[in-house]
Amino acid sequence: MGFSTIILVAMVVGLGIAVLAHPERTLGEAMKISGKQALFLIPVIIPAIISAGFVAQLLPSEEIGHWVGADSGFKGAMIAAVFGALMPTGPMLILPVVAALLKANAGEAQMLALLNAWMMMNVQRVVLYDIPLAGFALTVRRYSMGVLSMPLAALLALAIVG
Amino acid sequence: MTSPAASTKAAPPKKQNRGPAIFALSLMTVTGTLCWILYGWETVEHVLVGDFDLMISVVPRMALGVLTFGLLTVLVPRDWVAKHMGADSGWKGLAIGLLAGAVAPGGPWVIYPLAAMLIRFGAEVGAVVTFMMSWSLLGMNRFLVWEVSFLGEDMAAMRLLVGMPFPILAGLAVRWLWKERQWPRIDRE
Repeated sequence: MGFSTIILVAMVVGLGIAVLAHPERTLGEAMKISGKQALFLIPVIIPAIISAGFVAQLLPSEEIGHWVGADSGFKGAMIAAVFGALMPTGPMLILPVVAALLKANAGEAQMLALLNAWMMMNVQRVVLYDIPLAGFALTVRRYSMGVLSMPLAALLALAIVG
Repeated sequence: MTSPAASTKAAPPKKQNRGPAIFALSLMTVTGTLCWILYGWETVEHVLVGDFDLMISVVPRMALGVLTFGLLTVLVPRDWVAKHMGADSGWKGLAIGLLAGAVAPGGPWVIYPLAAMLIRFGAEVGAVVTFMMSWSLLGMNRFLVWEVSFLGEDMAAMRLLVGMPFPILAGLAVRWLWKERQWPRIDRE
């Protein structure tokens, strides 16, 4: 956690110096863009984080572990993928849940399918981030590719885990 | 909100989109109420304390991400994007998208506005979709920080391996499925 923060700080400092050194760009210009972005994000991120905690509480982890066990095959992987698509965004939420499911006898390939589905076709991310930040047209393209790729990723996971 | 400041003359003023905030607030209310009904108020308090810890770790990084976005927006050279990720960029555009997505720092609050910006600077949509998918599936930052620590090295490496082919496949498929190029383009001054 500390590591990624250090990288981000280094990025901001490095980019800041680059802007200062740039003959036609100013820090004020960049700060204006950042400020607008922050004003947009604050009322989205804070309730989203609070919701993430509630959702983790509401999930029936043990039953899910039962549905997506190692012998559940492609069907189990698809169930896991749907679950991954519906899980609220955030590695800080989904990775602990996956770790818990693995302990509750969920299959490895099924969990790989879940994680890939979460990355490629997460519903909450589409609503909170893709559409408002990237625009609808780009979202349609990216998301449809995620939906098409997901079963292939599940098959690949099953093949790799064996 | 996503329009780069340097191009304000070309971009129509955009209304602040309140939809996402309303959605997040509704989600919080519904899930919170469900927790209260099913598990009682003590559980709600317990969850809120956990959320507070999460916020302490997320908010500073989000602030850094927002700063990164502003700085990148004024720095990324438009001509370079149009030339190397543009309509005829072929495999090179996809390769740039793949690499940029894997190393790009920050959460979706940096990546998605950047993707929108690349399109407006003249990047081709397949390359941009490859960029977004690559960030989702192969992002090194999340892989190193989150996946390795929660899943262990073996499981995390398998996860990465499974994700490997899809950014490029997605970029190619987008090119094939949507041949039109009707994106609002900001031409260089």
